[in-house]
Amino acid sequence: MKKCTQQGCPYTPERPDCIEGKADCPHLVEAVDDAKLGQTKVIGGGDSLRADIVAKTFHTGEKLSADEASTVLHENPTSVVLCVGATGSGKTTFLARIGELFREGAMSAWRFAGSLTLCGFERASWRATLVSGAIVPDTRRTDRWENDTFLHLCANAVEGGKWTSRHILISDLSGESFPDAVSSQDFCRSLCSLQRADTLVVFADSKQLVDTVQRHAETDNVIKFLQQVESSVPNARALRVQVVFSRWDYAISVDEHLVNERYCEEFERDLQTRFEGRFEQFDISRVAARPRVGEPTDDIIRQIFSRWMVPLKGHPIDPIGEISHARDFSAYLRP
Amino acid sequence: MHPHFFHWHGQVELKPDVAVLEPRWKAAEEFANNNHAAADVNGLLRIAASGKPVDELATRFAEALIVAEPTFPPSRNNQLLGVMACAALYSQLENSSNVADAISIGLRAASFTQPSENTAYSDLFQRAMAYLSSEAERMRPAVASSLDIASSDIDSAIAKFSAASQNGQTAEFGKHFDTLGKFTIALSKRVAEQDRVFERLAEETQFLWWIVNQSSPTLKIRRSKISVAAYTLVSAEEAATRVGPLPPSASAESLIREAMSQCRGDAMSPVSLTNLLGKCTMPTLPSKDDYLSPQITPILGALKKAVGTVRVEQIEDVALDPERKLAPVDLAIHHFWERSYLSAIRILEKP
Repeated sequence: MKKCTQQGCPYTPERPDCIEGKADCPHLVEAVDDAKLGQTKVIGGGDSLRADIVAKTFHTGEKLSADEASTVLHENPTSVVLCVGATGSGKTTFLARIGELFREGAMSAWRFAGSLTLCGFERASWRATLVSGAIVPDTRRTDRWENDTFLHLCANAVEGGKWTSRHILISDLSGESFPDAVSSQDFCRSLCSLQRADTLVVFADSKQLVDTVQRHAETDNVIKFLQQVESSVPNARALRVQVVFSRWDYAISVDEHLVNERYCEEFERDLQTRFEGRFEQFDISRVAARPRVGEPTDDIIRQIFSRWMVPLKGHPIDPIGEISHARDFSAYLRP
Repeated sequence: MHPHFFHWHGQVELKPDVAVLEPRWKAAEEFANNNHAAADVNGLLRIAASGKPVDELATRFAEALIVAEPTFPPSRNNQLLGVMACAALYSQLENSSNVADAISIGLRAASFTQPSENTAYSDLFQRAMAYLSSEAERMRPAVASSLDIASSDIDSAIAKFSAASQNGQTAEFGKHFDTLGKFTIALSKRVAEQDRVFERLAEETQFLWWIVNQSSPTLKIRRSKISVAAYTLVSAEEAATRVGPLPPSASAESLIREAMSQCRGDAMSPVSLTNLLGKCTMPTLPSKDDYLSPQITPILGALKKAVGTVRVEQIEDVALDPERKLAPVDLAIHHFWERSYLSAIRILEKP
């Protein structure tokens, strides 16, 4: 049934008197009465009016709620990444650096292809910009209410001679919630970002690791959190886990840096021993996203990001596999 | 409902609502039950494998889901629809049927390209492979089962039946008539089983002569005189035409391997797809291309494109990576499943 999109137009199929007196009025569109939804939706009619106009929602550019993020998942193949770590361990700074690299067009093979949360990215890096008026580059802390909210990014790359685009949803668990995640399985189960994550990035703060008083708490928290993940995420074995030694400039800039590096290497070995093979992928990187001196470790950040974009399979698919009872002709031979 | 249906949803929805799962599954199942046409099954397979909407089928499917469960998103739902297509297809694999044959063979053929990465598709694929295995064996019984009723009992029943009819003993007459009826049913079942045994024997004989003869009936040349690459696609075609009942027995793969080992060259060494397809002798291509798609029949799509006999919209995103390396025998086996899929889906065209 046709319907006019202009207010006040008396058009009906029975009385086709358009308000503009045109026989083929461009404002006539196909209307579908969806009784179940209890509303009439305009779903077509002319190239300019597509079904999308109903479903399109206005995005503020801020982080997406779980429901909003679900609409992205409904439509596109999407990777979900969760960044976890103690307060001040550099999660948001790391994400801000990713946003900056895209802005500079320096994210190796990947090109920016859209984001529903540009404001979210901008907010993350705002206090590191000159115009913010901050004396020292800084990052806004992620609040508890921001748990299970998501930054969205779409990136393009050339694969096999064709442009492929991938969507990614990145959640950043507030540092204040990290102790809850370490201590409570129920809390971990309630985090939909953790339950759905394809990639889990755990931040170990190098500033804490070089502090002889704080380092044991930091290492214990990382280990305990990964153990909680194993017991609270049903498909934990399919996870890609990346442990990031963040703020690495703190580990290498002090006088006893060799001692600190050795401690970090031992911690790395311990992590490898405990968790290697327990997840789909397990790797460890050293990152300085916004070092006090020197340049950011952009190459490593690019590598980490590139791994996020590689899709993981839920279960291995083996097309050849053991699918048959191959027929045995010996049954028909004479004894 | 599949026990992992919640997790299937979890891949495409951050907070799956448990209350919507049952009605969605039932709606998907009902849609699949009511849409057994070849084009519908082919479309559902494409949605499941690629997560991309297929013309009007996707709209019809989404509408059916919305009617049963109004919170289902009416648009921008490609991935969710992919999961629901997996549910619809999965529900058809519960019992043996021509539809289930086409679905399972189609999924086997689709495994050549990189199909959907979601858990639902993986579970569907595993179920389809189990179905293929059991159904191929069921359709090829070794011997027909024996009759439940011994022939001596039947002789006696016939004698008693005729005596009762002559003496006008109605109760006795009915009792022995019932026995004879049961015997007739058992006999007809046995005849059907015998048919399947004969079909199996005919298929085995076909394949055995194909191997023993050591020559290609299509190319009319001894295999030892042709290269593996030249025979790759032709071997798949020859094997597919020798399949009796569908789905094909998995041992057909071993027989293709055996036939190719009789050719010159190494059938197991990986070669780039471009090189391999360039050296292949062109097999006979199906005249109708209604069910060709980049997801399920990429090799046939590429061949049709090469000879320019396919509509552009069907092959514009053929999912073959020209630099992909694979052994000739693997290409032959995948092509064999593509042809088997076309045979299986065409059976659904018949009323």
